Amino acid sequence: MSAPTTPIDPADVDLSVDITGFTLPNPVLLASGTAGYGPELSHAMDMTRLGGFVTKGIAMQPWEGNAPPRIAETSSGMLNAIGLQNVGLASFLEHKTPYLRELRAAGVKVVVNVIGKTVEEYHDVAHGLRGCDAIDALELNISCPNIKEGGIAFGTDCTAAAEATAATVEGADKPVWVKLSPNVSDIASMGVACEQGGAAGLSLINTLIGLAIDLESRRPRLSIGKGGLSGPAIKPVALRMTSEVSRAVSIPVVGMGGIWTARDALEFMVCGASAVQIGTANFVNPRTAEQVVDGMRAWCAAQGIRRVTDIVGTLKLG
Amino acid sequence: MHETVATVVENRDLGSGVWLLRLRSAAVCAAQRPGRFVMLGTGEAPESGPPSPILRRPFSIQRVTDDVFEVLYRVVGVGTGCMSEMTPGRPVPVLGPLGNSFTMPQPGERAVLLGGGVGIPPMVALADGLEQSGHAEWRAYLGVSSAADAGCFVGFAEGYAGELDEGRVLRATMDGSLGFEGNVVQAWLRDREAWTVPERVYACGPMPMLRAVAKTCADLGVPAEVSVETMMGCGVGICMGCVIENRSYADGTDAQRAGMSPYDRWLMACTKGPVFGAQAVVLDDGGLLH
Repeated sequence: MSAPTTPIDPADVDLSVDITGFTLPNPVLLASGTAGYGPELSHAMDMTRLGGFVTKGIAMQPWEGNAPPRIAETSSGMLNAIGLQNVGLASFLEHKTPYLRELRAAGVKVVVNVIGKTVEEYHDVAHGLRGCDAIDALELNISCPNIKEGGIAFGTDCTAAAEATAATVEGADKPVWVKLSPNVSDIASMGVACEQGGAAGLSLINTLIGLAIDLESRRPRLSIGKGGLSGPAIKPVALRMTSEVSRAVSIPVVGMGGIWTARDALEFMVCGASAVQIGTANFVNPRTAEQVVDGMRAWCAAQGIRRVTDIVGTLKLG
Repeated sequence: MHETVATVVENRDLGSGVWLLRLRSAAVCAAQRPGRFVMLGTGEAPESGPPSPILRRPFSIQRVTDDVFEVLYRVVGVGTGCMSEMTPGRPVPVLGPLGNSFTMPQPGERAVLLGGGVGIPPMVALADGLEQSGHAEWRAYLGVSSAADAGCFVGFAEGYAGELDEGRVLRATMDGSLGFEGNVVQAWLRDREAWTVPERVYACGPMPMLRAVAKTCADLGVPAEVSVETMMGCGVGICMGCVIENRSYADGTDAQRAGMSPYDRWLMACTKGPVFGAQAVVLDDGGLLH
């Protein structure tokens, strides 16, 4: 990167990002499952300042989710096993899209996270979202158990991931992002498989599978045993994977994993992410995303960077 | 709901690991109603970057005095341990007030307030609210395990000092070391034998106590509301961690369940509660760990 060193006016920094056929006003989105369906956080933050918003996952039918305890705090992070409790497609279309239309009218891009237990369900949810004017893209959650394959996750098998991606793309009339699981030995290959399956973009990382226990009772702290680790504890893993995937594919990558500050977000962009998602931080400080947007603009201005996308993939390796 | 920074006014050690924290925030105080809670950032709050511990902790608002609100807590883990180190002037991140509030009694109803241990604070808030609304017809039954935990009574001891054990406020200990010997349900049942007024029960405390309250009230046909504590991550309905089971789903027949969305089996305590009808939810703490 040959960045000029003369600071510029923050107002002159262009934060917009062209991604998978549309333009985010800035690179900051809220991650699926950490901001509900939108209205929940609107009382605590200015949602119109977001670049984009990713909904809680949507399945064909409502899912009840897991019994409590569903969350456990860990060192610089948390484990969760919510179990994808969601209202289902029909209720989503009827009750959740009016607010999302308002968000879109304010310029915020809306991405619907799609979940399913079979390839057919992914296709059907995507098909059911056809024509919906409240959304800009789909994000495919391939960390769900694949019932037909005996419960293995789509997200840990290249062939299954590619099939799920292809089925979703076939059903959808919007760009499809695939959210990658970090619980694999070679995430770049997973990204390539999803790209070959027709994904327009990739988002990563989902949570890392972990375990928290209560020593005295010698029992897991979550009802189903293991859970997904998120928060600052996973950021180094997420940065490494963002770098590996972005160099292996030619489609845009959206990075996430423990982002708390603008500097965190910018690090993901340097590692190849065109945009970022804020997750666990929303639980702690609902205004994190706004602060990240402000901080990004200030950092770019101080560095004399006119377009934030100029830093994407500028990591100097070797 | 406000996302703000309050200032510690007082942090008082009440003995046996029980503390009273008083915080100044006009915005939080203005929006308080009995039963609501705040999420407090308990660790050091750096200018930027994650705090440690990372998640905020939920606490019922016990009392509002002008622009100062107070919470009662017991030191049980790293978050409450950090709280016990707080000194006056310290800024504390606050999200709140959050959640719903108690249904006020009808005119002529006697409000029965049952509080156990560090579950007493919502009962203080309710007593204060009833007083402010001119509804003087209430009785409070407060229980702890022994006199060593008497610090939990601080809200009533300070607000209704002249009524302790002689007026509308009765204290109970399981070992009889202070006040009535037994639990709050037993204390209330003893008194109500002489009552003829319609009652409405409100309760907050450990799950076994709430289960006893719910069963007793069901048997007696007395309406009751409980304020529940669950493992809470965000307090605003986005992490979906703090759920409690919907009884109409848990106990429903297949036909009844067919008319409900599976999404409604687990209710978020932060946004649907923390106050629920005592018969509306399954009072199981799901192995609540601190």
